[in-house]
Amino acid sequence: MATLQKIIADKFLAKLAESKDVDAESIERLRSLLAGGKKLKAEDLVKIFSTPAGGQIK
Amino acid sequence: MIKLESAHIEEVRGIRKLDLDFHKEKCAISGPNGSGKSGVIDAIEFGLTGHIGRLTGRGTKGLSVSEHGPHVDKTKFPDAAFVELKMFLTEIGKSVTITRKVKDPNKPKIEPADEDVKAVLAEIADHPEITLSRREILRFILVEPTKRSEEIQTILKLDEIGETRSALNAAQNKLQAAQ
Repeated sequence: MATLQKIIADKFLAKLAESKDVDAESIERLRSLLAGGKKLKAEDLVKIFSTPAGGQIK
Repeated sequence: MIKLESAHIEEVRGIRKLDLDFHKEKCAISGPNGSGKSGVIDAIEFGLTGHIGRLTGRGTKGLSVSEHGPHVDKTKFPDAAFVELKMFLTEIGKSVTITRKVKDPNKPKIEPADEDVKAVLAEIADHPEITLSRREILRFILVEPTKRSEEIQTILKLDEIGETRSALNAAQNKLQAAQ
């Protein structure tokens, strides 16, 4: 059974998946990070959402 | 929905030994300051969820169920601190007894240990927002309007979501600054 926090997080991730600005891999990495149960750090999120070296800015 | 039939509380918070009959009815607890009213709520919350909301959240750093759950005379004997709740689960029409020790908060003894019973109890344990303390209500009333949304998050035990949102905002600012 899901906690209120998990329900909100799942809806947020589903909404993110609808957006064309975020790729599926980043969403999955974010999902794993949220499921990890550790306190979320901005640096970890920056790593997920920053453009990879040599990647193209959309 | 659950309807409490009875509670047996031993060595939890300020309570040494207490038996209460609720008869599946709504009830109110009254008494002078320091008589243990909040202790009863804490014990019922612990019995249902394995957590004590009053020992978590803002201003409770360093407090824990294992150290601060048992009565002060039994802090070195968490085995002695336990809650036994008898309740009726209206959803599945069954009477259930759950016994939870402070020493082992995540391993309650459930009778009968049927799968449907365990599923309902797991859902209850996943929702710590079921209890609302006087402290939380007062804080919500007294807080300045701009911080009211934070208090609602605290009341609904959504602090983690608030922290996630702050981290996402911080990351967004950093990424924008880097562009």
